[in-house]
Amino acid sequence: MSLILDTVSYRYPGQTSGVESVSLDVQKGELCALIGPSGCGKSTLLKLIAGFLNPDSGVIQIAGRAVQGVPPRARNLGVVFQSYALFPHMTAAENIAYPLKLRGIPAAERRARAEAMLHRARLDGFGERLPAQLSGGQQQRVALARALVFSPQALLLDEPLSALDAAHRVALRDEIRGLQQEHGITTIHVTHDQEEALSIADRVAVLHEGRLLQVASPRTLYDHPIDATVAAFVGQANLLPALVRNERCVETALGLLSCHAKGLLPGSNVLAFFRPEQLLTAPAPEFLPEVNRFSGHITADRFLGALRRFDFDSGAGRVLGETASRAAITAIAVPPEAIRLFPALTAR
Amino acid sequence: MRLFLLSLPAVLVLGLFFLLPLTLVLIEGASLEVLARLWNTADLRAALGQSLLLGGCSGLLAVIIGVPVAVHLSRLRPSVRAWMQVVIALPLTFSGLIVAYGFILMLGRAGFITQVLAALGGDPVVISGWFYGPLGLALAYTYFLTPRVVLMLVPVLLNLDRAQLAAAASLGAPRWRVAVDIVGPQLAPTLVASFCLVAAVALGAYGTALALVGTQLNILPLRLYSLIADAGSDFPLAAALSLVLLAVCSLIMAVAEMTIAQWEARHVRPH
Repeated sequence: MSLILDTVSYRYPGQTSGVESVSLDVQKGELCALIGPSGCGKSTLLKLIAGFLNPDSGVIQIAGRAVQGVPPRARNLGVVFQSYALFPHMTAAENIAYPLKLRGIPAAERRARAEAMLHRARLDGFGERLPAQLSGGQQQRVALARALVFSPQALLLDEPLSALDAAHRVALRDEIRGLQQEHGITTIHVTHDQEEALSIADRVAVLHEGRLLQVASPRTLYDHPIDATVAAFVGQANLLPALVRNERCVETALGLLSCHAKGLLPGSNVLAFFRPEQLLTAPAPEFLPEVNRFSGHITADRFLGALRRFDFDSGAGRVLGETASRAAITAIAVPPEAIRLFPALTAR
Repeated sequence: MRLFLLSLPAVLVLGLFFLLPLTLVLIEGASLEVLARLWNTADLRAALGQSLLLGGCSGLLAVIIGVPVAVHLSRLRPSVRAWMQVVIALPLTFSGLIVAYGFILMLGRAGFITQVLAALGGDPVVISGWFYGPLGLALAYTYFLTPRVVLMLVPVLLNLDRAQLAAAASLGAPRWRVAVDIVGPQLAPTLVASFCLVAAVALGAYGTALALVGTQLNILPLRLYSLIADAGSDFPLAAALSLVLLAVCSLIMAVAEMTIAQWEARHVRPH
């Protein structure tokens, strides 16, 4: 089942926030993550797909059928909410069986299917518990089981892991991916956690101020962001304001940077982008290639286990770096091929 | 010590106007002989039954009227809702006598509505006849009981998790199923509690009843009044009757409290 959004726009009454001309095509069985900063419109988009809001313009198609005016109950979509939205007066099994009850499925079959879902969600023995007697992670698994039990056409996940602690988040996101693949269900996963999106999604869509900036595989998105906004939002990034000198060189606060600047007018303002892990580091300058090499010192050194993330000050400018090395760093080099230039105008 | 001094006026008031009278009533009425006399008086037993019926019916009516009003209020903008709640709570500030007077002006023999209906061919005596009986009393009680129900229900409706309603809709529930399966069960404890509260209030209400039906209607508060005020006053029996009224009202309120407490113990996650 595919899910298509064609130039969908929506503005909240009396406000400027919403989404504008969003087009997105999610293929059958695909998990597409929607990411973006708070207020960028990602939850609004989900509400439009679920039918809780109606677009001002544009078309939403679910399984090839336009769903304009179709109420949420008739869209046959499984929705998992940030707050879990479990019914507090129903047990876990009753919560899971509820959509089956609504579809007139006999009690015995309902029980059997709810039990099967509890088993798949690793909740054996928890069926008779009320939501208040379950942990956050267990509640979220019940919510997921409830959204899947009636074989919906697609699954919509609205920040389903944001209320959990870090350890549970990592474990549950893999479970979500496992269940999604097991069911082969088309899924849209809204999250503000880019790591979560990059780790489980087939494709990631980046929203900013109501507009869709880029839809790509996690790797493409990380390696080839379409503009400075995407580059800044996805992963860590160095974005240095720069002036084009010629087609092989730009001038930044750090100093002159050799890079590929062909096609850009000398004197134009750009942003020089490179990832922190692309920096080369050394305890002394002579260990590094001469191109784009700078001496200086570390001003902030953050130990992240396998990695070190540091701020490097050359005296003229500052960059963010990452390395697995624990040695002293007094020099860095930026490989010219690691640098991409974005027109400064596209920076939001 | 300072805190105790601050609470001293309240303690004095409580002692003088609650504990002391209660003790005196207990001394006067809580004897087997008086309670047996009360139980053996058939019309006093009937008064208890009629009071419970009146309290139950007017309480039920108040809940039936109060629920849609509360639902409507919960959907309004906060500023509009605040004003509406002030208006709705106004009957709570009126004394029972004023309420009775207002109803007489509307539905008494010379009342506005009675006169309009009389002009349309009705008989004012028949029309106002029902008003000066149990039905009219239940209607008047409903007037000042409904705001209590509304004020109890609105916060619960406002605190309902909207995501649950959206979740139910996305799972395939039409509106009526959302109301029956999701909202109803979560509202039920407060409905029971509000019914108990207003039924208990109705059970002990006195001013409105006296003004509307005099001492003709056989209900506990009016019998109590008769036992104290009439020439043949019987203080021990009045004290025993007070204790019965107190016990019944306390029992009803205990049911309300236990309903809420049990529901919260089962469904609200401890923090």
